[in-house]
Amino acid sequence: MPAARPRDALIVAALGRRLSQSDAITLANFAWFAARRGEHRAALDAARAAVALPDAPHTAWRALERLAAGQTAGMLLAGTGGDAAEAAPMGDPLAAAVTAHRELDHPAAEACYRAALERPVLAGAALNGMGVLHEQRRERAAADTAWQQATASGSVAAVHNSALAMLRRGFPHRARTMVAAAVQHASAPPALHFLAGYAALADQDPAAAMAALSTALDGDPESARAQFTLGLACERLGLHADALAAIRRALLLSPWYLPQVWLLDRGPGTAWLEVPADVDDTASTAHTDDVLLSLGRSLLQTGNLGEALAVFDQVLAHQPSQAAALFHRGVVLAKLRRYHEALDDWETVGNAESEGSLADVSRRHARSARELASLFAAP
Amino acid sequence: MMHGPLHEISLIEVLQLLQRGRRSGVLHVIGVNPDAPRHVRLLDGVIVDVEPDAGDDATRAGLVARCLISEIEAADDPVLLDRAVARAMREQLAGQSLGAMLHWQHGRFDFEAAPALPGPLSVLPDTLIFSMVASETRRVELAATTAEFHAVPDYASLDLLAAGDAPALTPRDWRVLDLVDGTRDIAAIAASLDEALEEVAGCVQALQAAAILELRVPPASSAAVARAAIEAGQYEAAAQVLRHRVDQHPEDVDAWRSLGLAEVGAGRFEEAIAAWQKWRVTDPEHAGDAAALMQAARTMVEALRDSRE
Repeated sequence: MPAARPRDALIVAALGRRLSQSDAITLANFAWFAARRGEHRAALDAARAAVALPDAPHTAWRALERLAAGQTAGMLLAGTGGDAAEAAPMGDPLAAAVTAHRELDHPAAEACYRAALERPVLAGAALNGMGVLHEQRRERAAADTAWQQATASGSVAAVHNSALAMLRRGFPHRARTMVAAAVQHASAPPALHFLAGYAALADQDPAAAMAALSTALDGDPESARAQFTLGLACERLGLHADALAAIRRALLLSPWYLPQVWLLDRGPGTAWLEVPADVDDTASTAHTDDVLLSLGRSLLQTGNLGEALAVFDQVLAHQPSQAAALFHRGVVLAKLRRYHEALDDWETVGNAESEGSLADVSRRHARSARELASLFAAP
Repeated sequence: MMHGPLHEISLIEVLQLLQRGRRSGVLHVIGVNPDAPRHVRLLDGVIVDVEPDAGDDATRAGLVARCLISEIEAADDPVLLDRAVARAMREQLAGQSLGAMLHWQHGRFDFEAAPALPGPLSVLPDTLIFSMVASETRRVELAATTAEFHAVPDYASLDLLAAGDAPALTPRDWRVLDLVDGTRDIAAIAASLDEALEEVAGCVQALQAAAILELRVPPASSAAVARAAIEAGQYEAAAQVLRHRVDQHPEDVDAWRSLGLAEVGAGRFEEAIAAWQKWRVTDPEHAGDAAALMQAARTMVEALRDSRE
């Protein structure tokens, strides 16, 4: 991409203002012009505006697809009519839709998905994407309808996404049921087995979760989310050594635990694109901290106190008042006979949480720690 | 079989004769470059194909070069050549090719009668000639308002550029806008785009009317200054002006030709040969003229060497 010159930027901006209300062809061609002048942002905006208009030429889809991916090469000019093929979306509206969707540009994504719906071969994938868009906008009925239609068209990603949506809406058992039939097929992808396991864990069935996650890992041994979730299931079953091994494998694959992703279908013969279901960093950090807590507990149970302390410190660095981390760090510190520090952690939990078992236990532990600490106090 | 040299019977006359006789077959035309013959196919006196300039490959390449289709479409789209955009491209290329051929005064033609076969074009020679006359008229008019196409387009002030209605712009308009940089003149832009001068000048004029571009007419044509200097016998001054001109506009064939003349006037035949060599390369239509002048200059170089010896 050539470096933009200051005067070019002003020219592109001025011309862009003049043409802002133009037809789709003019906007698409302006995108070509702006891209040639190195004005990527203006080009991208023009391409998005073009595809949102009726009868957008295929060059507009093509421009959006390339620009959204950070490319400017290969953009084309649209004719001014007289060629019926020019008005038909001959580019790849589905690829443009998925790219825009990944960039959280939902209006452009919707326009592109709608264009993709016009092509029978892309319709299932486009409906699946539309379902995700609706769910992200909390249009749940529309999302369910889109996924039902997509599933009827054979979209496996739609099965996954509709089950994940059910899970996120607070119905893990229903999510398990939705995915159960699909995983019976020999060709069921690892992503579906993973979701079956993740939903089972959320449905308080760690044994079933462990079985499904093991199947998922047979198909995709490098799935960090499956390794992490397996660790959680093992920990829930009291298999601390297995939990430790699974989480350590997971941490080698990724420092982040992102269990919930939407699967976007890019068309026949292409791999799915994953979009995190939680768009803000807080949610993904919380998921990761859950795993770290589990890892810390397993380390504690297996006697790896130094490592356990480091793991709980890591969680508390993100969330200084995280009660479970404080409580377990207190346990580690007490085992290390650092009673004053254990006392601080437990008192923090006991004071912060006036009710609940963790607070009660913390207060009890704090009393013991206070007594033990007094033994080590200077005479 | 009908054949003959182009300096005796022009291609216009040949095509008109073939049209009157409703002849079918292939007209082979060899111009200044004997290695690049053209083949004009006729069906009942109508031009239906011009190879290779308006052939399938050239049409695809023209569309790709003008950013109207991708290279993948050019290679894979089975119905590409039936699309309106491809038909228009082929007609444009045929018009450009035939327009150039009709001016050829060197070379020869051979008409080979053959069974009638349809082709992608349908151009009556009479229509072609009328459109050429119209283009020529337009070119003369535009040359008068654009300093012989040496006027330099630039973008209008930002206020003007942002104001007003959104004009309808053609793909050619956008390609012209892409090349406008405030230094290139219309002739240079047309050469870069491989489009007819009058078409590019027409675009520039329309964009000027839409307050997108403004036109800066050079205060005095360097070619005119150089011509005056040569006529006044001031060859060094002329050569200096012309060297500057060809540095800025290496596509200016007249400047290369005049530079050769100025160098000869200054007694520098080797430099004159170099300038005319450039002229020959940039202006293949006058390659014969350039070659003759180069030969003359070489003879002078040898004569001078002999006299020194």
